[in-house]
Amino acid sequence: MRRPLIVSNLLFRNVDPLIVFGLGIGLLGGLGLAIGGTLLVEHLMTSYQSFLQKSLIGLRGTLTLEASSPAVLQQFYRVWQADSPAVPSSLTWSSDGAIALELEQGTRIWKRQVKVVVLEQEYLRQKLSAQQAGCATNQTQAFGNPLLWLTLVEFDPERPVTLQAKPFGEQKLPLHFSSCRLETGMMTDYPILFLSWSASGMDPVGTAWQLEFSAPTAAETEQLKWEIDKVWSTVPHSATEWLDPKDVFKSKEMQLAATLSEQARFVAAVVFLLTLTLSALILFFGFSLLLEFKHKVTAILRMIGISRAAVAVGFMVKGAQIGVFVAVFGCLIAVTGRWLIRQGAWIPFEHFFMPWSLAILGGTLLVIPLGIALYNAVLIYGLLWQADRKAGVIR
Amino acid sequence: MLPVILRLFSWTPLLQLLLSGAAFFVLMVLITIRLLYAYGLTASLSSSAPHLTAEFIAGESKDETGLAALQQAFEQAESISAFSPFLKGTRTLKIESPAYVIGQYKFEAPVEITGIDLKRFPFAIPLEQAESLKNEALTTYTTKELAGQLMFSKRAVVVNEAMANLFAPRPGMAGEFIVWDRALEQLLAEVRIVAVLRDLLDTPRMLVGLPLARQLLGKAGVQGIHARVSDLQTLETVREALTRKVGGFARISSWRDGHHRQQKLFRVFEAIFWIITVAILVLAVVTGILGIYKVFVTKRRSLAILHLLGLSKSAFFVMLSGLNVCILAGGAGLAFAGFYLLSNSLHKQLVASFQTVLPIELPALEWTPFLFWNGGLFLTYTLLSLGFLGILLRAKLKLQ
Repeated sequence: MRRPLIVSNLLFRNVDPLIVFGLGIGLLGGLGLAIGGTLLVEHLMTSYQSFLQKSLIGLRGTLTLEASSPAVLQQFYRVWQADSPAVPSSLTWSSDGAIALELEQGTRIWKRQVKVVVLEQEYLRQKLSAQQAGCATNQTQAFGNPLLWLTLVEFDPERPVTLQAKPFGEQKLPLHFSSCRLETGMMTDYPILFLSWSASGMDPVGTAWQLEFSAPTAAETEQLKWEIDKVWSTVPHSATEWLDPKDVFKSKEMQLAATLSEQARFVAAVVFLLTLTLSALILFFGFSLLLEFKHKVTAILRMIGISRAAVAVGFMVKGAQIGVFVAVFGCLIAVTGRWLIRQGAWIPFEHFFMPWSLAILGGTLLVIPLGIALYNAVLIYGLLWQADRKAGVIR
Repeated sequence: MLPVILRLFSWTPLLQLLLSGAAFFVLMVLITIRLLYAYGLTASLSSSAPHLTAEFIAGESKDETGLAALQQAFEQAESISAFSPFLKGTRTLKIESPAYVIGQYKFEAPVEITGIDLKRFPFAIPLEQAESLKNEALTTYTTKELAGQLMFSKRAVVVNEAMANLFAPRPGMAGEFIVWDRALEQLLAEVRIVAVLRDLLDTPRMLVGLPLARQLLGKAGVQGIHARVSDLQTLETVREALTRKVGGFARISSWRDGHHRQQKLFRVFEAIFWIITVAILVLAVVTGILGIYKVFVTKRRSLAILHLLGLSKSAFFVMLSGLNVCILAGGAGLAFAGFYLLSNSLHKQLVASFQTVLPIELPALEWTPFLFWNGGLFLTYTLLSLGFLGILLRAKLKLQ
């Protein structure tokens, strides 16, 4: 272990100031910028996909699971909650299209045709706190989307209100309405009333025939389907019992939504590829330049018996050190860039950005030094091998 | 001397050619993404809206001279496929079926009413593309029949999905309705809903002929002109040309300036695109700096020897800068060639998938933005390399 460190120290001591300056700007600055840029671009595109989804489907679930029977659904849900409690999900009942209902407030009655969705209060609260933070209250049991609000002319959410509709029996259900308009996105052009199970007076056990999930992007919805399959395979079930996942992005009415989401993914992939190519080029030029400047030192080291591999390992050690520096620098650039974009209101929407993924930032700090070290070692070994082949030729 | 210089640099020009080619290519791909994705977004989300709107700065007007001047400007403008005076307003309406089915098909909500000239075809908003409701013969109108209904029936109206869905129950057939002002309980008009437009909006909209709009809104004038362009790529150019002509008395806005979710989506995409472009451009420039730095700094000793052998600094400068410009031009050419080969796949990825949803045409890309941006990058690289070369030739080098 000592030899590579000694070689590394020998290689990187006493470097010409002009070279230090050029490499400082080019290699460290360039790589830091490349890492910061890639992180920021990835974060921007993920947030854009999530924003796209919010615009298209709002707070509606991205995946609905239907089962052969409510009992099968319950059985799956119990295992799912034990295995994947982090993914927001809820047992759901929704009306088959718009149903006739009556909302009564004092002497006024609103007879409307509305789609009704019943789900768990906690699930709704989780989604609201992520997208419409001001609306997440524990007390509220009923929410309407903007279209429902438009048609409830002169309705006062602060006053007591009752609901009467066939699926909830003959009795009038007292409701506590939220004055927030629940965003259901541009692909929903009909009124929806969201109720909690407690407000609906129904028991989810035996009534719920769907399980709704909410993932922030279409790509994560795909991943969710895979996880559901995995959990379903662990649930004991007969051949006649089934689960049918209905991905909102696969439905016909959401074709445009699916297209836009697919496009955003494609753009993100292309941008990632472009930044990766440029980063690889920066690394290549930076390290081949370093080797070029230190060719006399490497020649001497080779003459005193140090192998090509040992020199490459020496460079690898330095590469790892540079990697740590540029990874930290890159993370700082990305965080600062995000802060600047928010401060400068370059993207004029308050809730545009998703939270930073700590796994990505942590992964960068780990993978980048390793990646640079390995790339460096392979590159230097290759260049030395090529130089050895040409040995004896004077430039 | 040039062969000596070429031999001195051996593989370097080729590497530089690839490097600059990659940078130019990256830039071209970014421009294409912006053009095609923006085109796809605009084409798919603006299919139920006017592309351009000229609104009188003074507000609603009955002044025929002002309207004539606006109409003349639109007649003379390029790429305008249809235009019409418009009147727009919001009123809280109560709508009911006529007496024989009283109690059915009730509606109560604020409605955005837009009136355009439906006497001239094509319409400024393509209402004939709306989904026809079933008529008395239990069939739906064809596009031509629907256009005919709108042109010749004074009461025919089109509503958007959001409005149709607020009826209790939703009308399944084309039919007559009585429209009241909800607050005043005043009868406004009788209308016949013939089709439903899918505009991805969550506000009820009713699109009607200009006389009916005046009746429904209780207004007499017009607010300006709505227009559609035949080529969406020219939208901003046409807008600028019109602003120059009528900017004194009318405000020209394009579909992208609206405040609905569709336009927000578009604006967010634009903002992200510019941030990404700037980030990638900076990366490309840094990569270029490293490439150029590597070429010149590693060869400075060899250049110093050649200089001691009698080659003048100016000759060096001319030869190396000439070589560099040639390499950059070669890189740009390489990028254009690569891009030409790949452009079909990009078209396919970025537009064809929209075409499966909506009938939009495949746009022909204009070369101007590519030339402009690549020209900028070319200039940046040239100046950088000349700067490096200048510094290198001025620096005194000790040769042992």
